[in-house]
Amino acid sequence: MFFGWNKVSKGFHLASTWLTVFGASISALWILIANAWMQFPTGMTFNPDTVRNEMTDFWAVALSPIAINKFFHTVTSCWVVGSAACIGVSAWFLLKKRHIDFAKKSIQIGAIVGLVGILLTIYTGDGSAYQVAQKQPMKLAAMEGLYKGQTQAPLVAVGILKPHEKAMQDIENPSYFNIGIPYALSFLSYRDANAFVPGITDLLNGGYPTQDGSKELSAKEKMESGKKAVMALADYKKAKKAGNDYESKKQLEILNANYANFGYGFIKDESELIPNVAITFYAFRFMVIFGSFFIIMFLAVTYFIGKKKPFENYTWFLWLCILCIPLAYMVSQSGWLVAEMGRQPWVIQDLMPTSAAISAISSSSVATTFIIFCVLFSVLLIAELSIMFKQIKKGF
Amino acid sequence: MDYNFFIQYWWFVISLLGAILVFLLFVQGGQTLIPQLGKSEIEKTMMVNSIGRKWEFTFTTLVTFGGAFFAAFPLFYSTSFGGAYWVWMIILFCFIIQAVSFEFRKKENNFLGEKTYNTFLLINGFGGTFLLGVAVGTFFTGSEFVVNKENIANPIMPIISQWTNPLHGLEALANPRNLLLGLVVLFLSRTLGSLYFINNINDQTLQERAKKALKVCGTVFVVLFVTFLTITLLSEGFAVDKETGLVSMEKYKYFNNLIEMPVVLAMLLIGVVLVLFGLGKTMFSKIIFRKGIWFAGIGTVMAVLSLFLIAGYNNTAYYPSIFNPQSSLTIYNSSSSLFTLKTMSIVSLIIPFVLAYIFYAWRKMDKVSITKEEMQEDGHKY
Repeated sequence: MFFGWNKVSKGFHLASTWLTVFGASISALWILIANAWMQFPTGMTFNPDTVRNEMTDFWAVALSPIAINKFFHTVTSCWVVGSAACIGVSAWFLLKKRHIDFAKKSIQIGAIVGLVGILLTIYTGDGSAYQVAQKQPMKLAAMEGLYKGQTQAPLVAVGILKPHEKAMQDIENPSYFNIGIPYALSFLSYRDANAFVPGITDLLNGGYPTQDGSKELSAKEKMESGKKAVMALADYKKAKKAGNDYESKKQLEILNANYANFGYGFIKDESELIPNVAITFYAFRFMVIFGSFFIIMFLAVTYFIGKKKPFENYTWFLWLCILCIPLAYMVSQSGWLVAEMGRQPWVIQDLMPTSAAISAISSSSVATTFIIFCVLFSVLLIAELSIMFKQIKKGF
Repeated sequence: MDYNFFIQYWWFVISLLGAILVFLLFVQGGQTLIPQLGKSEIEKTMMVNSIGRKWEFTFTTLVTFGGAFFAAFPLFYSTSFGGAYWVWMIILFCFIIQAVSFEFRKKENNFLGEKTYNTFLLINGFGGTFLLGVAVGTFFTGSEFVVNKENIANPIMPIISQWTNPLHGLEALANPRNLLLGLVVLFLSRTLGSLYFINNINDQTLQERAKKALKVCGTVFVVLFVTFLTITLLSEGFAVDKETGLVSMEKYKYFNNLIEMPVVLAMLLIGVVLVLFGLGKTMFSKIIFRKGIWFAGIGTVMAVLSLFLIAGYNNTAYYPSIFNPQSSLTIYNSSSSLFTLKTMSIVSLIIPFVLAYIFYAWRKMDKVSITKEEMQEDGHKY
């Protein structure tokens, strides 16, 4: 795209650009469907003979509500990142008093796409938090630093958490300070300002009433049930080998009855079930606060560009636009931190913990490849940025 | 259409993708030829741009081959990637550095400098092709691993496939037959690379030089390939009992497979003849023969396809374990479920359209051969 300007006609270039946008979005769709399946496994049945989950309903996987929401949340947030980049680069041209008309036009388009993008991102983000509350309550508790559950729960706007061990001992006051929005967490999680939102300790201890009225199992009960499922699978295999139909059928029943907790069978201590609260909590705050800031930012861009005073004279604002490029990337990445750190210890929610998903290779091998990846990709990123900066400096 | 049909269909599809991939490795072969054939900067530029317009085909085919293999035969994926870890990782790194090198080498402020990117292209050209050959060699020679599905119920180490050689894949480099296939693929890619340059670049000096290189690479390739094929056909193979699923060693297994599947045999023979014709005609015709790549290319696809088919069809374990033969992977015991394969089969109906698109884009790009004049014009260049 960047280097093909003079190679083909303008119409062809535009068509190619749109096709790239479309293709990239489709590719994002399938990647996010896969990710959503790990957060909320659906459309499959566990087959004890092949010892794996097998897809039984393609559309349940492809059209899973988590997948659809995740797709729109991710793609529209990418519009925001793209708009921030477009506005930032254009602001740099304005600071340098170059390509002024072109830059202003780009900024106008960027601000509109960005504003639409951020509003849709916030809308789908709300949907995402609601789904997390239903499907991954531990992630939600970590996002909020909520150690003890409560009704009419407030949403923490800003706050500083105590270290996890300290917070576990003082679950009523897990943070040094925080400012909350009354009722907001209950409402966002269950669309009911009075709803009970379980905290980390409630999720471990169980016993609180769930949305459908039943009592939630404690972590210990789930771990026992999981161990039963794992044992039943082993016994099923043994009985099957021995040709004992009665026994294999019996074990299969036990397995199926406890399968929803299968992954808990690999958990050794209930503390493993708590994700890293600090990272999830702060990443979530960072995403929401600076994400919302982009509404103001895009509105401000539209406001300043419509004013009589030439836009290129607002030097301080142009610098702010440039700073928004790295900020947009950081906000986007912090969203992924929440999604992926918050779902630990699960690689497949409730069915397979990350510690059971490993290959039989030494951790030093994995560490070595990790370092190679890190160094190689950092070097290539520097090269890419350096080429881009040069192209921006040159202009067109 | 039953389960077996879909399993065989998918082995055919990934074999075909693998075969097309080997043909498209002419890009990597071309990369290794640049310093040897290009005496001046403009000649090097012509070659880089000639293959630079094609690297995406190779790369996407590699990814599709890997992706389809993963989806259709997941037990192979989980056994081999976590097991022969280092071979796959090194292959991966060899390919990561390729794409960026084409895109970055001539750009201003590219941080590492053109020379580094040229070196990356050489690493990818030599390393990528050779190691892919070595890795596929283990399809015929076997690896050391155990598969035990009951392990999933082991709460301490719930790992189904375990590699038993501590070198995790690097041991494949100690087997001369794997090394031989590595060299076969490397020299094949260089052979196809020179044929491709002759076809794609309109410059007589360069074509003459490519022809010279072809004579050496092509001859070495033919000798290596015939040796590999002879050894493979004469060697023992990993046969699977249809009824019990038990794996045992069978003398001349791969030769027997060819005899028992005459269509595959015919395909192999036609493929070999086409490759030899493409090579011979280009090497020995007085005026430059530019269409050699098409004969050799189609021949390569047919020959490689038949090799993949004798590795997996006719009750053969395509990923054998020499440590524990009963752990060997067959297309039946390593495939996805029937429902998944059916779903994938519906998606695979798009493949012809993708191929048609590749054909169309290729024709469009190659309407005019690369010339010195074009390289001096403005516009996008690698």
